[in-house]
Amino acid sequence: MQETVVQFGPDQGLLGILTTPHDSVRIVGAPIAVIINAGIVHRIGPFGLHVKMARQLAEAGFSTLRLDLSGLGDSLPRTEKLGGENRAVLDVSDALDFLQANQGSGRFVMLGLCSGAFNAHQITVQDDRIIGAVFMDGIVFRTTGYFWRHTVGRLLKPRTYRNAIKRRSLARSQKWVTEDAAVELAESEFFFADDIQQTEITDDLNRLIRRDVSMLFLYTDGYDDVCGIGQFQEMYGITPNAQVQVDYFPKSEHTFRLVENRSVVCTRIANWYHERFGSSHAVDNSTQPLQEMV
Amino acid sequence: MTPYFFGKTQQQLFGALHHAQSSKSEAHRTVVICPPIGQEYVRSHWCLRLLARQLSRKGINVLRPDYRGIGDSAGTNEETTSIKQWHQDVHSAIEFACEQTDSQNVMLIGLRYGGAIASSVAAESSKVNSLILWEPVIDAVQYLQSQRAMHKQMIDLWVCKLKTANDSAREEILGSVYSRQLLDELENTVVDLDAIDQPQFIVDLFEHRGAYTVNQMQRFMPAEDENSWTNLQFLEAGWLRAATARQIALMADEMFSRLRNYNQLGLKQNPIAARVPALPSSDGAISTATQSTPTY
Repeated sequence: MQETVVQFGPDQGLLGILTTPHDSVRIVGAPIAVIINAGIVHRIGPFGLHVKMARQLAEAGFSTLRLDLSGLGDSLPRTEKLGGENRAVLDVSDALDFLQANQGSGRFVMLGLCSGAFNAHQITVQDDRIIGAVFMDGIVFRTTGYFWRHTVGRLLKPRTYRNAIKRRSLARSQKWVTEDAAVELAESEFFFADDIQQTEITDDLNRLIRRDVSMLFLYTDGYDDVCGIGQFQEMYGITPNAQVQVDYFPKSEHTFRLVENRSVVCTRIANWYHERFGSSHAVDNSTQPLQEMV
Repeated sequence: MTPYFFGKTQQQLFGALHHAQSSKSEAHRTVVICPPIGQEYVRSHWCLRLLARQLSRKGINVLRPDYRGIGDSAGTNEETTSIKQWHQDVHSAIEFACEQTDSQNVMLIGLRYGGAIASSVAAESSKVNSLILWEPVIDAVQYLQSQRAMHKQMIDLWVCKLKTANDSAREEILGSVYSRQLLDELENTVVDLDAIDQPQFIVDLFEHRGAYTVNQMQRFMPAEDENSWTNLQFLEAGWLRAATARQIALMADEMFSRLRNYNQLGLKQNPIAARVPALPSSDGAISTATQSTPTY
């Protein structure tokens, strides 16, 4: 496995870490994974999740780019005037162009957590070079099933009351953010556009299915707007299958805080990647020597 | 900024080198930043990048390295078995920064446990000309206790009952696994600022001012910031201290000017051995200080 710094985009301002597998395990012709920022955390991901993911994928034979979107981590902000376009789409497009020119692969898989999943969705819909995507705690809509499982289900759990009491006593002992401030904070960290329509996302997903894009949707119990694996079908009316896979991690926080959480999700992704892209895929072209590497 | 991997191939370290930008730019004005460890490293990335950019605008070269097993550097946290390995990484970073900027020595800026690492490296290296410590970990026992307490709190409030690794070989604390050997060493970290010959500028919370007393080689600036390191609710919140970073950049600039003036006096010996002149006198926020018993 080798890790290299790469820079590309306007004024070479975008930065990423390219993790490539050892030749002995490399799966020739496999798509390159591109992992983008979750929130404002730089390219290593929350609790180093993206580093672990990239290294595990490299051990399985796949290359990965951990990218800092413009203005995040060590990438420079884009300075050109844009007409309301999602900058992440432009950044990733630059990244794919760079990888295509320097790594000899024209097929990619997007991976993103939270706002990263939102951006990954937008990018995957717009760029035909993307043949797979992993959305971790991405775009969700509350359903009736969610109400029963989340609200009623939690009301029946003694641990809900225990934790609520503990949080309250903690608030007294520490400078805990008040409820109003917490809402304000949550809103300020809400990265998704507020006008997303469920029908629009459903249409997007159906279009991706027709385009033969492999998708893996992962949800955690720590993500407040989703509860249970069944919510996926309730939201989009799509029955999970080999192409569209869904998983739910009931013991995990939204950002995979614990080592075990990260280990489970990285293994799930590596297995999925191997299952979908590990067999002999047509090789686009031969690998060219890297340029613009540092 | 130019990113690099440096060091041995199997143990390469990541470093972001910000080149000096202003006309003041001089080869000997180089800073190596020692970041915190664990989740504090992630929280402070943005702020340390900001600090590096401010320093570079003042004509100072800055290297922001990642220790082994942390950030983009090779290895995992768990594989680090001694804090001496992190010290070694800082020594390597100093060598690399000097090579890249044609400098003879550097200033170290250490944040949190990075402050403890910077202090140890400064005490053993002739290539460190001065030191800035930002909310440094002075009492490692207290530091580990607070980290463990937050971890316990986090697990206690988890959606279900669970346990994390904690045995004779390793322990998980706030999402990072540490080898037991490393934790034992970490707990026994001694930060003796009086034993360091280089000039030191200490920036710490007002409530911690009692941890430092007067000394000719040390200056203390109380930071008007909140202590969010021990509050679980801020575990994943970015640690943004732009105003304090700006003051530190000003102070670093001033310290370099004094080091240059000292060298121009024709005293060839290393400032570490000869002791450089005292830092600027108190002006409001800045006061003289040395270490005494920590209060946290």
